Amino acid sequence: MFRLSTRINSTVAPLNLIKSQLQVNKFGLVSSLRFQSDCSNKTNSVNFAKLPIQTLDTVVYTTSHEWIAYNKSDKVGFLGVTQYAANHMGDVTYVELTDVEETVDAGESFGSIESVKSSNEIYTPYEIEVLENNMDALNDTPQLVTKDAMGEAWLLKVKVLNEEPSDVVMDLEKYEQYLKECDE
Amino acid sequence: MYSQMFSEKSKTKIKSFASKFNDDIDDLDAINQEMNEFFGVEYACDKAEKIDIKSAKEFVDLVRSKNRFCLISKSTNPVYNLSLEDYIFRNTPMKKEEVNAKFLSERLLLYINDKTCVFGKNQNPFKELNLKSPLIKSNGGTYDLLRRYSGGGTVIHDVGNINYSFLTSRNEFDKKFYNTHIINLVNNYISVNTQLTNNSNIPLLELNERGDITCAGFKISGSAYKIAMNKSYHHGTMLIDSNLKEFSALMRPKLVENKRSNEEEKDEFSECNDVDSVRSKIANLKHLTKNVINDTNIVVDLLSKGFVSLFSQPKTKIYYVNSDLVNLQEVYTLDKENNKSNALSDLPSSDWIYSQTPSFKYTNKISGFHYKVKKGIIIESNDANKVKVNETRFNASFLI
Repeated sequence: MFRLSTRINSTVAPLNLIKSQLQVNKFGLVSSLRFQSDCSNKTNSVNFAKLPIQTLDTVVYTTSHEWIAYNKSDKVGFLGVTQYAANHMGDVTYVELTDVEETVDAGESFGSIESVKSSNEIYTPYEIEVLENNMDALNDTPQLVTKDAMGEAWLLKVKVLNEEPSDVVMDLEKYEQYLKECDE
Repeated sequence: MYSQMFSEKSKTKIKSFASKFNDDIDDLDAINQEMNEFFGVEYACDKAEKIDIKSAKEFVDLVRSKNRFCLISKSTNPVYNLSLEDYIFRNTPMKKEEVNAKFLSERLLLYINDKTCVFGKNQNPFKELNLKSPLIKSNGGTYDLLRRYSGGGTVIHDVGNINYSFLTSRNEFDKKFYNTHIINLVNNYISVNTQLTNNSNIPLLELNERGDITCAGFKISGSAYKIAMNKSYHHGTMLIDSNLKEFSALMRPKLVENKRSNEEEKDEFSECNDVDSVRSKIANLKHLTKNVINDTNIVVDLLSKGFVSLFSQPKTKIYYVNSDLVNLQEVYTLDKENNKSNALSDLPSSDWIYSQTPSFKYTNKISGFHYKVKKGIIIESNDANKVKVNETRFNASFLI
């Protein structure tokens, strides 16, 4: 028994040890993310300069890490994923988006982003009509999502058809607070 | 740890171990149990309940409960198994207001598929596979084609390969967690067993930089992930005793990008941005471990018991699901109010298998014809005899 255990100890780490190591790793990751979100008021802000329309008065965020920036008056704006989500995904290899003229119900998926073997579904908080999608840019350079998720890599130009349910969205301050909970 | 061995608790363990020994349990199992107990891994073999799910209703209730569980499929039908996975993934409870709460409904699904080529959600099967191979079902062979819902590259399944699928919340998702767990379970097993046979030069498993499991430099497992509805799964393959000769005959070799702009030397596939498979040297675990791991059942056992041992409370159960007792069509009907999965009919449809392929242009270098394909349909071509633009679907007959 003793002989056996010594040999095993030297070749494989016991499972419970690995588990605790993983927790440490997770902690390491958590602390670096904290750092990111602490100073990320900028990173999770919409980069209006890189959007086709710069004057948009309303920005909301979702718990699944999407943003919509639009005008209250004509309800036209842009939909994308937050920089926080993009940082988590890593290298983006493919973007798939709903076609123009289609409508997507509140809470439904409007496409997916593939990054390092992972397919990530993306959702709209409101019912939308797709006016334009950014596939021309993202087909050739899906990496734009990592670089500028909240500007150049906007995903859809949309018309918001219904601003309900309003309790599923957050403003930037609340979203940042939410990110802190995510990283806990 | 050593002191624990002499505590009251361990005495009872040793006792139970001794009584088991009398019941003619083989030496390997006994020592394995002792090692696992020593490492703080509960030897779940006898402690975990193994339950057959008897009806579609029972299955729906289980998936919709908050319970953690391991599910072992007794079916080898790839459409059934992938549909099972999709149903569980979509219907595992996750309330929006609980997104940041501790997730208690982790699930592990284990399944073995008959011969199937499985490619990633955003891949081009014409580019990844030899669709003209006589091994493919439509050409009279035995291999099915399936497009996954997860990302990543092409893998091939047969009954010598195990598929695992670990489900957790998006928040607790960690690409390396589950493969690290598998590596520990398998290495533990190898070490215990090689000690007994005095065979000490069996290579152990390792995690490579892409998060895949390798052994002696060969890839033995491929992983892919899906994140949706604030949940995630990590699924993967593990080659135990597969027909690798057929696998390599099915995969197209890596295409070399042609840099020259000469018209006649255009690439076969161009104007495409689909996800490319990363080619790796693969091998069977049975061969690499010199028969120490010689059967898929060993790994099914290790992974199911390992899953139970990951959590202390509440007791995690192991279930078996059988396609005769749990008919998925019946599951969809029973759960039609809430369920949105329709994988059973979506997965085998040509719309999903072929038309989901990202746009591409194919140039047949022998005939000189080219075809621009969008959503499976040819939208531009100089092959007027065979193609009705915007109507004809691209298929393997256009390939060289």
